[in-house]
Amino acid sequence: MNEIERQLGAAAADPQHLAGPIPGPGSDAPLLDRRIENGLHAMHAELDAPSEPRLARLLRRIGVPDLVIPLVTATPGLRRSWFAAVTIAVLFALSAASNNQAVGVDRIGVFLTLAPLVPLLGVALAFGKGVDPTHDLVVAAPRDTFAVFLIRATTVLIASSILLLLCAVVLPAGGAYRLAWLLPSLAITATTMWLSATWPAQRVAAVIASGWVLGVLVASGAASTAATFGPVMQGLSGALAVVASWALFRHRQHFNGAGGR
Amino acid sequence: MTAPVVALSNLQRSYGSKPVVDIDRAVLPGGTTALLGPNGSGKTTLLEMLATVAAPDRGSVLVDGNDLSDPAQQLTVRRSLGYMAQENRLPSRMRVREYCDYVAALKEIGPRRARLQWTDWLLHQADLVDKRDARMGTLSGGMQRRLLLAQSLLGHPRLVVLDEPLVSLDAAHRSTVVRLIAASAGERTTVVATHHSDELAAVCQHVIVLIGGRVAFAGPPAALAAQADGMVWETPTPIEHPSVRALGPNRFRIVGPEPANAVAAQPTVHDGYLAVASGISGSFGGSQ
Amino acid sequence: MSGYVASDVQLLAAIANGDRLALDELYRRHAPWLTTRLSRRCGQPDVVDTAVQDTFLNVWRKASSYKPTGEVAAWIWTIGIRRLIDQLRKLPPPTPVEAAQFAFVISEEVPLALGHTPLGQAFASLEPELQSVLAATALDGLTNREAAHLLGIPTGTVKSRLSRARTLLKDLA
Repeated sequence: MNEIERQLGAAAADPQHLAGPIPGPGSDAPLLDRRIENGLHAMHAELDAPSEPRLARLLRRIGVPDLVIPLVTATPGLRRSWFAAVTIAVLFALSAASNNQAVGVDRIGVFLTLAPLVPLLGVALAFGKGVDPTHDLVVAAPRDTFAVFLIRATTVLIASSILLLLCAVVLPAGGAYRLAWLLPSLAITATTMWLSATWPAQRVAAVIASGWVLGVLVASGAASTAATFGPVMQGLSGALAVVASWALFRHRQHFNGAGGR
Repeated sequence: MTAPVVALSNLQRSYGSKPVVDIDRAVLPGGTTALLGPNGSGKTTLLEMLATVAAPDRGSVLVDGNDLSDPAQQLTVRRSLGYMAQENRLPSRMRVREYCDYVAALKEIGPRRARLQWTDWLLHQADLVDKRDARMGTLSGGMQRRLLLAQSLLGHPRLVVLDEPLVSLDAAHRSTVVRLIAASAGERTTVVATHHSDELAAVCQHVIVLIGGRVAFAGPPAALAAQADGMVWETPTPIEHPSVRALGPNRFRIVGPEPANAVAAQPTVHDGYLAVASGISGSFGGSQ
Repeated sequence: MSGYVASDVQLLAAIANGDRLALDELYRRHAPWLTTRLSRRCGQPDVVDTAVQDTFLNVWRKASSYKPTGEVAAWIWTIGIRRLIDQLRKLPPPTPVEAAQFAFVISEEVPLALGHTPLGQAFASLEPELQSVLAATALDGLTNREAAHLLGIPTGTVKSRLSRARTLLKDLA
């Protein structure tokens, strides 16, 4: 600390003086005035606004970028009623399966078959002309249409994975197999998203979902649940997820064009 | 900044084998253009192409020289584009203020504080300040229409595409909307499809009549009115005619050959439109 | 209340009681100079405006914690410069050219602080990057880490430049 720093520190006690002359009625004044007035309005807007919804505040806290938050909270299909319906459907299927032990259907097999469909259907219901009333606005807006699609798909994927993890915890048995839906669900969801670049998402989802269920039924007719959802399927699913994601990003421009779906 | 000029050339879009829009050449100058035409004449399809939500099968749309078929140039146009679709398609469970925030985010407005300012602006324009917390589904058709119009003006776009903005509004709100459309016409190009041609005629500088997807008339509103010169009649007795309109209990107006017991009337833009639409106008085509 | 002008301290007391008009008045009084000074530290008007708004929103929330020991303006400044640094943290660091510009503009304030004294001349004889480090710490009241964020340089560099500046000033004095 020396004399200059002491003097500067003393001068800092009057920060207003250090601004020097504020532009008076003259050249720069109107611009500064407008900024100051606009700032006052911005402050009022923030003070008068109701506080953000809980989900938005949570997202802000964990560092989700500001411009992404309204798109996440506005994701169609991301609704309590939807989650309730899916949970009830999964639980119903599980309890039905437990009553049918004699027929040879096991709970874990039913769960692993149905679980990947949850994010798949969620993504299909989150984007597109048929399901999103604001679809035209999304396409006409400067915001990258593909980015909006990705944000919504990721939202649904995360939300439904949390839901399925909770279901998996409730399952009485199954060990590590309780998580065997994860890679298949990523694989069929990514495939659906990729093919949505060319065909309507809902139609693609219906085809992929039926294909998945049929495939599992055929496979589990020939082998046990453990074998069906074993390392071979996990490996294939992982590979498909990677390939489909790569293809999806290659076709991203398809989403931005006029008439993009 | 001057208003952008929209140039259409050789533009065609079909559903199946039937062309819905088929325009050789048309220019929409700056200011407000009214787009008139009967149902199914291709107005909505043309507006969807201008708003970059539908792609033409053939031909091009240039907005200030930016070709909408080129992704980069299309983005340039979208940065300054407002669009109001014909149907009230709105997320019914979303709250009004959440919707405003969402639309502002789609238009890349941030941070949240700036979106809040735009939300205030939107609610004032739409006259819905006391509905800010209401769910969209609980709004009346007219309120939804006003909100949709206001969102199209969010961010002060330079190209505004409006599909039937006056439908299901009462007279007071119709005149507010007409005023909004007329405002800043100098910096903005607005294209409005409407059935309320006379209400809009006062504020538009240009009219295009679309019949069967083709341009049947393009020119200033006065020139369109002149298409019905000497063909507009009012009579106190009801009359059978495709163009007849009841103006009062004992006042009927037609565009066509002189009926019995009638007095000639000054043609309006709507009369001119009826004359063109029914193919009886004096000089078909007007000035391009 | 015509003819009566409330002092800054009185305004703060009213703000602490939830008086929005008092906040507007304080804002109109202090936002212009705060904007001018923060603009010397950041070349992007949007960023500065957001920081100024954040400052007064902070004042609104923290008015009750103000202790009437120093100037209200000085209190506002300590909040304002830190809100600016919060904003700068979200942006990529300034380029060397931008940093040099800030250094030049920040040092404009030093003559207002020191006047045309021998001390002022001694300051003017320093290299620009030493001037900006001195201004950021002594004049803006920033810690070394905060100064590092403002100037877009590592904290270690702030420390070494400060000690170099002190050595040089000792020789000059």
